[in-house]
Amino acid sequence: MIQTILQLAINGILLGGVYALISIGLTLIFGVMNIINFAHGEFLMLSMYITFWLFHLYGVDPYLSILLIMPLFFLLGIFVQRVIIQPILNAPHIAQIFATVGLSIVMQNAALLAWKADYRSIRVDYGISNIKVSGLIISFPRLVTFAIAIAIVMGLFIFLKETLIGKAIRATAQNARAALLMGINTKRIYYLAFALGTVCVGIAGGLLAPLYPTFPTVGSFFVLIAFVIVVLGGMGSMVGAFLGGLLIGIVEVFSGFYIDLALKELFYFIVFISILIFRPSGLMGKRGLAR
Amino acid sequence: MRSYFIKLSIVILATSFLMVPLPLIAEETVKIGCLLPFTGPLALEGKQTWEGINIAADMQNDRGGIWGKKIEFVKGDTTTPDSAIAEAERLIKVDGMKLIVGGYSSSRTMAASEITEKYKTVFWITTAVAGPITERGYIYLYRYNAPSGYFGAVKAQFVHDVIAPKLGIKPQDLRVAIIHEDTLWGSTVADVEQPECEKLGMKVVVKKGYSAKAVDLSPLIMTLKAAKPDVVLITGYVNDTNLYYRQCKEQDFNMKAFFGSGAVIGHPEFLEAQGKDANYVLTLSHKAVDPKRLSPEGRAVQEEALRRFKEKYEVANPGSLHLVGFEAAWNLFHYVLPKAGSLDPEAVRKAALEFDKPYNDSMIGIGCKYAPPGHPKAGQNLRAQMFTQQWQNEKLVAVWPEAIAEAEVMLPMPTWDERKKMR
Repeated sequence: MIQTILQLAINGILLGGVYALISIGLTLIFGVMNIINFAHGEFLMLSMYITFWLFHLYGVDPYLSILLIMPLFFLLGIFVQRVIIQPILNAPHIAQIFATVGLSIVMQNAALLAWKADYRSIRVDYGISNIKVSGLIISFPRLVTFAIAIAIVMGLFIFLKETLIGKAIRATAQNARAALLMGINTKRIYYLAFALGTVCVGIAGGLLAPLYPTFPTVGSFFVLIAFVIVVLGGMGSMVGAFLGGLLIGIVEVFSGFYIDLALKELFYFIVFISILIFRPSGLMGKRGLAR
Repeated sequence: MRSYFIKLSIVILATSFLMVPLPLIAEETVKIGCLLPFTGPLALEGKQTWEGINIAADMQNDRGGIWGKKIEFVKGDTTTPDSAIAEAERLIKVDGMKLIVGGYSSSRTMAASEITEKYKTVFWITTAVAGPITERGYIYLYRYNAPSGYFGAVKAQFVHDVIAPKLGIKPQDLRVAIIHEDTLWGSTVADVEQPECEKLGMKVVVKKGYSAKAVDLSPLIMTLKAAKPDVVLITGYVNDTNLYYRQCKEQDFNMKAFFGSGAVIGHPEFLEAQGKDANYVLTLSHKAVDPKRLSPEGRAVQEEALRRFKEKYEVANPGSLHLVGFEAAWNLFHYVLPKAGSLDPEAVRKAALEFDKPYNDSMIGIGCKYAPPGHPKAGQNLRAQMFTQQWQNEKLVAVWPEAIAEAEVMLPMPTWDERKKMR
């Protein structure tokens, strides 16, 4: 009985780490720029594909390929920001939605055209390996993903709090006009924020590749949960996204076991709505952030 | 203002150029609609079915086509069941199709068939399993593959007749778990598997559905661990079945026998995703039968089709969907349509109902005779059947029925620890 609960808790926390990792980039972008990137799932898909091709063609280990993906996605983030996001920053919300949804559709179908619909799996020995501790099973790749998620959250937290650029980002997030008046180059900050968010999701893709197969619509499997977690955790809060991810992972696993796996969405939406009733801006969000 | 109008007129001109259909080459063709999931979560399965249908069309075209004209397809994309309805409407009302082949995915086929029956268009279904598809008395649809009722009954029978003795467990003591994806496909098969197993005296300890889009199935696996089944029966799509099996390894959940339904486990994707771990897994589906068991015509068709699959699509081992797509389409293009004389739905229906093919003329060993209107399963190919196959030494071999078996069933499956030692 205890064994079962402990195992469920471990599974839930590790799953939550996966969810959290995907949501971190999204919440950073939303917090600073107030843009909901509907193509977030497709960036994940792209990162997973790159990891796959590096593995398949050159034998690069997925975890090592993250080192390559990070600078690549930084540049990608800057490019997308310049070409698609910058022009619509002050546009009505509906234009923003159209732009990123459009990007999502284009990316999905470009991937379908280029790489076909086949499921691409990466088979590495550690992909299904586990660590057994007194009868409990801990999945190794998920543990790594969890550890890196914590590292990113802490890293970003320190970056935003202590460094000058980090403070500039926070200032822009709090009030872009005031930040501009204070001499902060908000345009550059937006580039940085979007690029950082994209790097986060790039890392997520590399970590996910040993766990799940890659195919053009894989992003859609994760993106809804990512949005829920971003709002649940408080839009713009990294720690909130992390805690939100853990919460959703635990709710999903426990309700899946004790009640019904088919109803998992019901339960985490119930939790989601309950939390929003008591804390409308999310677990760690600040009031009035959403405009 | 002027630059605005110039830009606007450029845009209008450009789009109207795209919209004006380019004049087709004057050659007349036989236009047939094709409704499949070309994009979306089932795009892979749709593509494989499409490849099968195409090979059949190529083979018929090289024989002079139908009534001397080449076959040409007008595609409809059934990304979701909703778009299945919209695309069926478009093919019929806008493109004027009188005959549609395809299907795949019970939920999409079910939805589209409402439209095809309404407009009295023949729907030539290659693969869609849900029983209800042919239980509505619809007379314009013809389904080639076996329905869910068949799957459920045959799987239960196999567990009772073959798996139980191999495991050395009496059927009354055998613990069976049934898991399935939760749309029409998985649910209809599972809903038959359970009563059939119980009728044969076996205990169904778990019957659970899950979403094919799930990212984590560990709660399901923990439920199964608690129930301690001997045999696990699964009905899912490619992605979720692979995820389940991988997570079984991850969570160290051992099964004595693992038996899937339909195309999924037999596909090369399963081998690619699981490697040596695929060995010992069973599936009920189709394969190119041993040519020795076929008639000369069956052998010739098999040899040519397999060669073309390799040449055109680089598929050395066509999977279940490739094969069934091919067979159903081949029956239509080579036998039924030439007999019908035209695409007129009534003529096609008449030829379809008269069509009678023995099993040994078919490269997958399946005969064809459609149930007539008035029959409780009107539109169903009554000769549809499937064979149990097992991955052995990274090859898929037929193990049942004995008439076409190529090897003996190897059970029980080794545990994950044993597999590690076997490497």
